[in-house]
Amino acid sequence: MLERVISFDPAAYSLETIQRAAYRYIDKFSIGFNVKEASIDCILQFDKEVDDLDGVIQDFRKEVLDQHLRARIAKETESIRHLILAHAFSRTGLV
Amino acid sequence: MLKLGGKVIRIEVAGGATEVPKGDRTLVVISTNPRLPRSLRERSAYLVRAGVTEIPSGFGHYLQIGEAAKIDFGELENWQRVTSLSDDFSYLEDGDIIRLNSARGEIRVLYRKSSPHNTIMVTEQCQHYCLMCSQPPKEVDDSWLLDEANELIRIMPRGTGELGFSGGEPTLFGERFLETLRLTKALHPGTSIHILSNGRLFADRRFAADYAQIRHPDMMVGIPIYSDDPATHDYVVQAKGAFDETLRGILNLKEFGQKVECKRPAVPPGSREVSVL
Amino acid sequence: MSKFLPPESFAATGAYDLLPFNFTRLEGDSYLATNMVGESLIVDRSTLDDLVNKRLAPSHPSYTDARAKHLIAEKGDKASAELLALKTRTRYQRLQNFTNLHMFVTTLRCDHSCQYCQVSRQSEDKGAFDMTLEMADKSLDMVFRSPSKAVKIEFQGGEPLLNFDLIRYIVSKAKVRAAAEGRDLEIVIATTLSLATTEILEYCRDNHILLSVSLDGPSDLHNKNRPRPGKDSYQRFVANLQAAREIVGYDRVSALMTTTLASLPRVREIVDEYVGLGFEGIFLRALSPYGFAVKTRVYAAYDTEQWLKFYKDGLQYIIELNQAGIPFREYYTTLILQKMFTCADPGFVDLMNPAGIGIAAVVFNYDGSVYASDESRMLAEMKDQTFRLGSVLENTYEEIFLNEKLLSTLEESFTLSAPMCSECAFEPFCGADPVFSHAVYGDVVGRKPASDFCKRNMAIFRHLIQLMREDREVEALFRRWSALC
Ligand code: SF4
Ligand code: SF4
Repeated sequence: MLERVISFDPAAYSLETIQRAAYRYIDKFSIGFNVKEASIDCILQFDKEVDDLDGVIQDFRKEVLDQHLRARIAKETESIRHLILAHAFSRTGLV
Repeated sequence: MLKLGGKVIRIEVAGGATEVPKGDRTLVVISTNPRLPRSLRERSAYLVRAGVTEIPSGFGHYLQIGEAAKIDFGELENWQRVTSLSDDFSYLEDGDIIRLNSARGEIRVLYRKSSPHNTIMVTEQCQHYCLMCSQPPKEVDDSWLLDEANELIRIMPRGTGELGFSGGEPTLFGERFLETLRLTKALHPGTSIHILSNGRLFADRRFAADYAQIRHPDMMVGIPIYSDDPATHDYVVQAKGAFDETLRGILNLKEFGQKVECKRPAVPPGSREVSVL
Repeated sequence: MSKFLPPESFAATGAYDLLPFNFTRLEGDSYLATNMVGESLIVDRSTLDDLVNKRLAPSHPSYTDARAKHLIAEKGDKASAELLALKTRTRYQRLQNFTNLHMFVTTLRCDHSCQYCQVSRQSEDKGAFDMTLEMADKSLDMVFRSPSKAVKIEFQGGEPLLNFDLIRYIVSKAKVRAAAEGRDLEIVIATTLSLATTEILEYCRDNHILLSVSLDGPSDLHNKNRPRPGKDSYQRFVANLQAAREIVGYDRVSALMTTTLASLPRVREIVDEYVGLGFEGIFLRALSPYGFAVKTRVYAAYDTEQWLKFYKDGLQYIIELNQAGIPFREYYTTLILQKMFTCADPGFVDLMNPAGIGIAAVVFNYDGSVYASDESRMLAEMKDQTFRLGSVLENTYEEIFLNEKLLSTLEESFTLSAPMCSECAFEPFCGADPVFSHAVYGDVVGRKPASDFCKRNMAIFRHLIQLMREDREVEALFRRWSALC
């Protein structure tokens, strides 16, 4: 089994953000975390079929950045999102 | 004036067969599209204009205008044909439909895609013998014309705006003519229909009712009335009792909620003018 | 002094709030960002970063776009939220029409024995595989309990024409009830047409019945896929198609295609066959993974990648046809484009969210049982009764439609909450397919990264967007497709 460890700065990225990003790679690697004060270490164990490890890791890093942005949007727009949904479904009685 | 019918220069069958099948009347849809999908080629005639050198393969029929274009017979299969036409027919376009009579070496243009008013003549027979008729009726069994009309309707391009039926008197075929109208409605639901008729058959309530039963959303009968004086009208159409029957026909059509358009064509000199009906 | 103020007085201020939106990386540095109703924008990574971190200058070209597409709102743009709510409501309008497609399996008997068929029986035994009058009556009672104003009944089989008497019975009763209750009624028969007679077709014409017929491709392919005694399925099809068009009406007959392993290398021929027979479009469908298809390993015989290649090649050919002056459409693409370009949901079961099951469609089976979708009954043929909602003979309407399994499935698979879907920029174009997920992965949500459903749809979305970005003409063509319904 191929294993790699990559690290993120906990000041910049939350564990949840990294976990969310990792979900998309379910079919490529499994992941374990080692959360320390100065870094979050991710232990990636790759499935056998994956050959371009570096490519996947690079993609994964981009995905973490993306998740970070998503979290920001989600946090900022949570209330308006609920407002919109409540308004939209107000007469259907289903939600 | 476009030349709609006439002789072809030559019809040849590929594969060296010199004998052209006799009595062979075929309708073909003209294509000028070299990229037509294969599945449509066999049924279409590719129009080769003078000067064209690239000729797409696989069409059932090739039409060449004049002698300029030369088709290499070596490349063609047995069932493919080549017809040479004179320059008079260089106006033909993609989607037009022609009838080729190989036994007689004749061509007739039946449908023009770019024309908003295509009319099919379904018979040359009529109960009238109008003084000024441009194509005096003939008493021959020409029901093949109605069969051909059906054939034309089957291959006519979808999206045709309007289609006319004329004669002679198209309703003389009775139920068979109604079948043709039903066919048109089924295959071309968006096409309006215009029928040029003397209206006499509609005096038969059953027939008028069956006609109404087609429930076409946009179908109209155009009926010429030459005078409000029955005697004058009957004289013009050379048929006694015609006026009365036509009027009853119109009343029946109206009663069944059908669209009727009464036309008042110019009458020959000496007859009384039409006043308000 | 002029009464008019200069344009600067109305210029964007640059002080903005974010509205809810998702983004997904396309290729390289480009990102697709879409809001809840599918209004979208393509931006590069740094612009996206600036946009989210509120550093995007009003002079940046994407600023105006983002504001127009409701990804951001300037302070004071009070209408944006309301507009989004309105559009969201339109998007989910279908929900108010709770179950409007009712499928009746009038018989399982069939004159064909298609290799991929999940359900049909080669049997003369009417008693065992035909729906009874009692079941038909009870099913109709359920149909007319639906609150929907538009009622759609579709006859399925087997070959429904083998039990045409029951069709007549149901149609006449349904018509009377629909008229009495002032509802619109639409009736469809799904058939191979092999047993269509003039009498049947005239009945369809007189009762305004639509025909949904099966055509798999050129003669040899069709006959191979659809064996029947006499090996003449294709020949019968062609003859009866013409008869059906002449009697019932050209536009009242539509065709469906099933993709088998043998179809894969032949998509151009298949499209040509449809063009040659005068169809104006084709539905390039992937074979569903249910029933015999799974059992006989026909489904596994090709994977998503192979199907995608088939689809892309077919779409390419269809675009070429259009460029050659032959108008022709691909319907799956059209459905997606409708979701991309308009806020109406075309209501196609596979691309619906909440999932179409039980909401968009319900199946009354030949034996009285009720299923949440056509796929659910196929699953049941494989002894998996998960989506069996009950029986018309034993259960009440409430027991069937407020079925715990149905409601929880709808809720769990709702894409706005499913992991990954909830943050996917393609979500407004996509759907939930819990029966598929259940059949293949054993749970209704499905692990999207590994799911063929997600893989297939995402690949299509990316492909369509890329085609449009590469070629303006294709974009114009796609816009025309989406505008025609
Ligand atoms: S025609 Fe339909 S029901 Fe009959 S065997 Fe084929 S797929 Fe099954
Ligand atoms: S199924 Fe895949 S493509 Fe569709 S919304 Fe979910 S994540 Fe996006």
